[in-house]
Amino acid sequence: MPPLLPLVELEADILILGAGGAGLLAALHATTINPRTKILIAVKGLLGQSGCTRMVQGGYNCVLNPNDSFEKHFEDTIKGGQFVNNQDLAWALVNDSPDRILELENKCGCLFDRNPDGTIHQKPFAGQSFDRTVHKGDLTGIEIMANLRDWTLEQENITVLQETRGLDLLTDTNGKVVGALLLNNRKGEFVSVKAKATLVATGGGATMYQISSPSLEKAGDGMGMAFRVGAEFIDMEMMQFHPTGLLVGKSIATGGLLEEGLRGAGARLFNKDGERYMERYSPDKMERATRDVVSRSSYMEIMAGRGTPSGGVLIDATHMGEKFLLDNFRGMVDRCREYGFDLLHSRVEVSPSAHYHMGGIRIDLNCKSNIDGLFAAGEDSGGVHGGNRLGGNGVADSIVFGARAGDAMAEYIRTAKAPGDVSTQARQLMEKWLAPLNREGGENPFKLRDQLERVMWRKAGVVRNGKDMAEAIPEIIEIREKIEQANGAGAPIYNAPWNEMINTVNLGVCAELLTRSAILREESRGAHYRQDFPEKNVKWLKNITVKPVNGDLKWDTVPVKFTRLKPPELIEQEKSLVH
Amino acid sequence: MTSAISLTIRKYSWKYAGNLAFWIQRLTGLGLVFYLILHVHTIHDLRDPAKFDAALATFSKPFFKLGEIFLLATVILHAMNGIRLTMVDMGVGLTKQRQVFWYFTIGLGAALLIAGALPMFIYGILRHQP
Amino acid sequence: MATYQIRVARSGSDGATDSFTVELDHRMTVLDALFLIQREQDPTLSFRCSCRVGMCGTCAMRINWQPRLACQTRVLTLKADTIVVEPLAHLPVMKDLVVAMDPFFEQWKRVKPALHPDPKRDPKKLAVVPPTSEFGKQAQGKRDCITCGACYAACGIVGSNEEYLGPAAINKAMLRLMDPRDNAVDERLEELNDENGVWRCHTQFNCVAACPKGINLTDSIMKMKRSLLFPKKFHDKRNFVDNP
Repeated sequence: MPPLLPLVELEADILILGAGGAGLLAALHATTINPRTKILIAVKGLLGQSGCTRMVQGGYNCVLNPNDSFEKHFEDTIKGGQFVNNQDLAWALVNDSPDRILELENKCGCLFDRNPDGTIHQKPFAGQSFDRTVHKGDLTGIEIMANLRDWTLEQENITVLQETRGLDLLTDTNGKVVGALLLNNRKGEFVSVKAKATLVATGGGATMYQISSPSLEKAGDGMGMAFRVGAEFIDMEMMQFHPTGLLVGKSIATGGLLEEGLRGAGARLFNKDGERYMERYSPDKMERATRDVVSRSSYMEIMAGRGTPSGGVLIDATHMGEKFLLDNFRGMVDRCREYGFDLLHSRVEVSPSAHYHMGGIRIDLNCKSNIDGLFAAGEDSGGVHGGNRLGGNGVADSIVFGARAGDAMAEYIRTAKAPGDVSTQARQLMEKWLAPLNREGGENPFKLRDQLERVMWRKAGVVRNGKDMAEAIPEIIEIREKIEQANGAGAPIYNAPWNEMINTVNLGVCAELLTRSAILREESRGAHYRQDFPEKNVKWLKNITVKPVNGDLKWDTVPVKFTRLKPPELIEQEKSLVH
Repeated sequence: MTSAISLTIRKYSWKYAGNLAFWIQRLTGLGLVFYLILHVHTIHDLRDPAKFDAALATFSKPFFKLGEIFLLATVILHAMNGIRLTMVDMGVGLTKQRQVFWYFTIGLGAALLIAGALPMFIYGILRHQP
Repeated sequence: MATYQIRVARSGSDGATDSFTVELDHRMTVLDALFLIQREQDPTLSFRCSCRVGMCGTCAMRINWQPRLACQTRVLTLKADTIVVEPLAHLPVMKDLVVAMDPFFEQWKRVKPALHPDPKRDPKKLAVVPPTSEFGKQAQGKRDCITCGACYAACGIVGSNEEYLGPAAINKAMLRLMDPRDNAVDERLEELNDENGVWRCHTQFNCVAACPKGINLTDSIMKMKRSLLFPKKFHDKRNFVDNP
C-alpha cells in the first residue's frame, strides 16, 4: 500500500505564497490596513532565510536626494528596459520606492549605510544617471529580510508555514482562485488553504540555466502554478544575465555573484589575452554599461575563444586598492576568499550568470492578474523592467509591488465572498502530486533538471538564434513529459528527489514559455539578443503575451503604450513622416 | 617571530581559549574550596601546642612543600583568570581575549608561579633539613 | 581532485553515521560534497541549503565537531581526509542534518526582535545616524547576524540550560536597545536582566569562535551586563537627538 499523506485543511483571508521581500511587504501592508486580517504565509525554506531578496547584494534604487528626480530615475529605468516596459508600472516603481525605504527604516528597523554626517548613503550603479542606490554594505538583502522576518514573528494575525511549498492553485467553478494546495516538507503532509485572495510571490525561474545566481530552492513555482490555472504572461523572453557570476569549477557556488557595485566603482573586465574587451563593445560606458550589454560582450568573448580555459573572463579590482575594497566590498572579498580567490591582489574568473526573469505574470497597477482572486508581485510578475532590469531596481520592485499587492488585497477581501468547499479538488490534485512518491522506477529528476539547464544555457541563453531555439523546443517538451514520470520515492519529509521533480515541472513551464516567446521576437532588444536579428527593430516596440487556453497557448503582441516617455527612434520616425 | 608563534597558537588551540579558561576556573575553584575545608579542619584540630609543633614539622617536609607549590599554582591560575574575567566583564581587552588569556593569565601567571615557587623549591625541598 | 571520506550522521537509528567516498577539487566545499552524495549516491540524504554563498544561514552544521556553514567550509582547509558531518547541537533533529530552529527562535522572540518605533519620531524622516555615534559604532558588524544558529550550538551554557537566551538573541536585543528609533527599552531590559538572561553567560567565547560572520557576541553580552549595572550611563548614551 503506497503512503497516503494526510491533508490538513486551513482557512485564511489572504494566502501569500513566498516570503521574500514581496510576500512579507504584502503581509505588512495588509496588516497595517486591518490588523485583524488573517494572513497565511507559505515559505519554501526558512522564514526570511530563503529566496532572493535575502541574496540581494547591491541595493535598492530610490530617489532621496533633492538633486535627483523621479523623472531621471524613470528615464533610466525605461532606457535600461529599452522602451518595452509598462510605463505605468515603472512609474509606480519610481514613485513608491522612497516611501518604502522610509517604511523599511522607520517601521521595520532596517538601517542602511550612512554618510559621515549621518544621512543615508547612496552609491553609484551601472546604467544610472545619479548615485541613488541605498545599501547596507555589499550584502543588503540580509538587512532587509532579517528585519522583515523579525517584524513578522511578532504579528499575531500572521501564520507562517515554513518549508512548505505551493503545488497548485485551487479554483472555483468560475475559474476564480480560492486558495492553494501546499506541501509541508517538514511534516510530510499536504495542506489545502482556502483564501479570499492569493498572492504568488515565489520568485522567477532563472534557475533553469546551467549557470545561475538565485538561491537553489527557487524554481518559478508561482509562474508554474499560475500557468496551470490560466494566467496571462508577458515578456517571457526577457531573462537577465548578470555579467559577473563566480566560476568555481564544479562547485555548487558557481554562478554566485560578485556584485554590480564593483563595476560601478571601477572594476575592469579582461579576456584571457589581457585585453580590456569592453573597449570594443561599449567604448563610452565601458564596464558601467547595463547588464545586458556587459553580459553579452563577455559571452561573445568567451565564444570567440578569448575566454579562460574554464570558460570565463577575468574581473580586476586590484587597482582600487586593498583598503577601499575592504571598506566597501568586504562581503565580496570574503566570498572570493571562501573559494580560494584573492580579489584584493589578483583577477578573478567570472562568467555571465542567469539572474532575473523580467517577464512573468501580467499584472495591473494593483498587482491583479487576469484571474479573479490571483495577485502576483516581485519576480513572478512582468512588465516593470521591460527588456533589461537595472541593478537595484529588482529589490525595489519586490518591495514596492509587494506593498501594492498587500494594499490591493486588503481592499479586495472586504467585498470578496468566502470561498466554498475545495476539498474534492484538493484531493484530486494531491493524488497527482503523490504519484512520484509512490513510483517504482522512472526517470531521475536530478538528471532531467541538469538536462533542462544545459539545453536552456546552450540554445536559449545569452545569445540566441532561431534555429537553435527551434531545436530546443522538442527537447524541452520531452523533458516536460519525462519529468511527469520521474521517480520521487522516499520519505515524505525533506524528500529531495520529489521536490526536484516538482521544481522541474515548474521550470519546464517557464522554459517553454521563454523559448517560444524568444522565437517570436525577431529582433534584439535588451537581454534578448538574436544572432539572426542582431538589430533593434522599431516595429518591435511591443510586448509578447501568452496565456493557456484549452490546453493550447494563445500568443499575442501588444504595442507598448508610451504614456510618459517616447523612444527617440519613434520620435524621429514621426518627424520624417511629417516631412 | 610573533607571527610564527601566534600562527601556531591559532592553529592548535586558540579557538578554545575561552572554553579552556572556563574549565580552568571551575576546576581550580573546586580545588580551592576543597583545600579550604581541609585547611580549616586541620587548623581546628591543632589546639594542643605540642600537636601544633608536630604538625608544622610534618608540613615542612618536601612532599608537603611540593603540595604547597601546587596550591600556589592553583591560586595563581584562579586569581589571574578571575582578573581576566573581570576585565572581560568591564569590556577591557574583549577583542583580544585569546591573547589576554595566553599572555596574561597563563604567561604572567607562570612568571608569578616561578617567582614564588623557586624559593619554596630551593629552601623547602633542595636544602630541606629534617 | 582528491578523495575524501564523508561520514554523515543519519537520523533514524541513534548515532548512526553513513560513510561516503567523494572526489572533490580544491575549491569545493562540504556543501558540494553533500550535494554530490545526494545526487549520485544516496538521494534520501536530507540537509538544508538556500543561497549556497553564505547569506541565508540555513546550512549550519557541525563539521569535524565545530559548528560552521557547510557552504563556507572548503574541504581543503579542514586538512583532514575524513570529514564528520553532524547536525547542530542543542536543536532537535528533524531528519539527518536538518534541525528544528524553534528553540533558537523561541529565545529570539523573547527579546522582541522587531523594531517598536518611537511614536515621537517623524516617520517621514530618516534617522540621522553618524557612523561615529554610539549606535553607529555598535551597528558596525554586529548587524550581520544571519541567524544560522552556530553560536547557539557552540554555547556550553545553552547545552546545560535550555532556558538561556543565547548569544544571538542578546546581540539582537542590544542592537534594538541602542537604536534611537526604538521605544521598547524597559521590556527588553527586563528580559535580559534575568537569571536566564545575560547573567547566565560565562564568557566561554565559543559563540565568537563559531560565528561565521565574525560577530563578537560576547562583547554584546558584556555591554548589556554593564548597562544593567549602570542604567543611567546607558540611558544617557541612548538619548541623543537624532531627528530634531
